[in-house]
Amino acid sequence: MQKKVFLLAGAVIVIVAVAIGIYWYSQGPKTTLPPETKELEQETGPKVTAPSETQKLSQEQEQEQELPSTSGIDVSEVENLESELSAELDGISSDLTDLKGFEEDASLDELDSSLSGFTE
Amino acid sequence: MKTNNLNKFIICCLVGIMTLGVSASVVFAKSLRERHQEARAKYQAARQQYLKEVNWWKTTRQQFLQARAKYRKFKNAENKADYEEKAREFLEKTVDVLIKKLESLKNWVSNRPSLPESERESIVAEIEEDINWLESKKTEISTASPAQIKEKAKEIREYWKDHRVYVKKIIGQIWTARLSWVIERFETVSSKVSAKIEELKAAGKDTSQLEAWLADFNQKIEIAKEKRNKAKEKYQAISSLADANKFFKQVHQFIKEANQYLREAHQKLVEIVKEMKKLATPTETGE
Repeated sequence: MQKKVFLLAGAVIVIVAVAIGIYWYSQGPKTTLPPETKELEQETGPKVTAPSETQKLSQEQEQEQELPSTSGIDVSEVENLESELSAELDGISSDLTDLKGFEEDASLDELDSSLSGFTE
Repeated sequence: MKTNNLNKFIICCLVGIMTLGVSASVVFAKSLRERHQEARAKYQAARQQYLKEVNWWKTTRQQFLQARAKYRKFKNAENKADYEEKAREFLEKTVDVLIKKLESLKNWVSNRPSLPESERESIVAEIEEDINWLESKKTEISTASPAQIKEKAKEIREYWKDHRVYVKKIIGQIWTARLSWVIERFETVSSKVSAKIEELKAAGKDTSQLEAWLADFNQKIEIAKEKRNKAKEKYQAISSLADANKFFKQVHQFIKEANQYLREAHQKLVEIVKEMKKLATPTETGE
């Protein structure tokens, strides 16, 4: 009886491990790639195209040769890159403001006159 | 029984490994925006430290000025000793505040993944060199005689003059490096868009509009690059306090313009994506 319970638990673990494996694979590039190669995240195409692949199958059955080319074109990659660039632009705007503030910092304006007091 | 225990142990290990795996993926899966926010938060913390140091510096400056006024008025040995002590404290605090200022800038640079690595490293190294110089002065001040204190104050004053020029120059360098990073991203996107247009063309779609927009997108990137290059020329020309402000204003203007062109390019990209989605949708194929 106990053996069956463990066999069952083992089977559940294998299923969970496979599910996590799939999840890990789909998330993998996002978690490990440095920002320098961020654009490559978008190249995990198979995950994104998977649903349209199944749709394609049924569509092909219905429409035969009519749409084989366009239905396979996935523009989500470009769409994702567009939103990444949007984030980049937001980032650069706040960075420019930060550094302008740093340059305009007037907190130490009296430093020069104070130090000149030493030599008097 | 022993086998059962072994099974339990293996199950526990597997569950543990899986939990760790899932947690790790959640922790490291950070978006670009989150990374920017984190970097900003770190910079703000360093900036707060610096501002705290500025307040201390202002207090010691006030004490130094009061001690000096008192000494000038009464000119006795007791006031002289107090004046010298306050002078030393003030000078030490001046060095501290300058170090904190540089550290906040170093923190800003080193936490920016969106800067080319080589530029990031060279800028951080330059800032560290300055910090090290100031640290050595701090040590010298703590053991300096009253006469040497005057000498150290002179050195710090000279440093401060150079520092103001240096800050403008280094900010110009960071801005252009930051822009280069974003421009590179735009160029990568351009080549991907181009490949996608080819796919649509091969599928028999009319891509003339997309091609025109892509040409416009690329042109705006080119102008942004020109502006970035001009900004680079200007920050490299900064050499003295006399011309620093003039050149820095020009650097800022070119950077702003480059950023504006990139924003316009992005707007074009939004239109490109919309059109691409339209063309790639099966219902739009004229069935």
